[in-house]
Amino acid sequence: MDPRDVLARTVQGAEALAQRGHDLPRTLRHALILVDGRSTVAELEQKGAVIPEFPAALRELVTRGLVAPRGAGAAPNEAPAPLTSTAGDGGIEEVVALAEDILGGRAEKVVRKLREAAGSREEIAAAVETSYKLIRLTIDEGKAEAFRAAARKVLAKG
Amino acid sequence: MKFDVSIVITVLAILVMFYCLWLVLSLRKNIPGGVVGNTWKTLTALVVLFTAGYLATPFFGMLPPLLMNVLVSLIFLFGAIYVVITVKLIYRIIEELAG
Repeated sequence: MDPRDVLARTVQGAEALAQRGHDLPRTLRHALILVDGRSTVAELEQKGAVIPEFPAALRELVTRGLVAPRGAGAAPNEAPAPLTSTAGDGGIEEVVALAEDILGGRAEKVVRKLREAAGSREEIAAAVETSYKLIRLTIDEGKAEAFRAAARKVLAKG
Repeated sequence: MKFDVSIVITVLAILVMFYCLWLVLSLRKNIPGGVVGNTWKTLTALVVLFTAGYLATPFFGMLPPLLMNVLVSLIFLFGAIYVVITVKLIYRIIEELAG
């Protein structure tokens, strides 16, 4: 893939994301969430740096036909605002996905805290800060920094 | 049999220390890392040390006076270190929560 290509979800990709029960491995699902129809491959690789083997996940999405470079099969109306367009949830699902990716099996408490806060973007941002403190105090300081940086990027997109 | 208050206090201290040991070990899985998790490991090591030291207290009378004094001093020293670590941890948590 050319790092300058702008990737967007295909119709199949949008459907896969809409169906929570879709048979899509978690890493691919999280990578698919980040594909917003505006970012280049290089930008996506930066945003998804916290997701394990993100570049490989992107390639897999292209191979499966779930994303494609814009103008090469991507759904024309499947583009920006993935935060609100996927579920109208203010970005909480993306932030939860980030927490699960970064924290793995230790994400349970953080995910619960984030879901309790699901509401306006400000409430989610406040929950991200609280979760950051929780991770920093009880899980891992490095992962706390990674989570907060990635979550802020996600919230800033909307 | 003569009632020895110091033995009663020592037994109570050992029981409390065993309870403390059970607490630090059972709560450890909830705090795998981070600021608290890392300090927790040090506190656990100190509690293990104290438990061993407290268990040995009834036998201190059998030890040479010099060795007994050194052991008691060491327990005091580690006790002070434990308090310092705990106070600093509490302050760190307050800082994190207030920040």
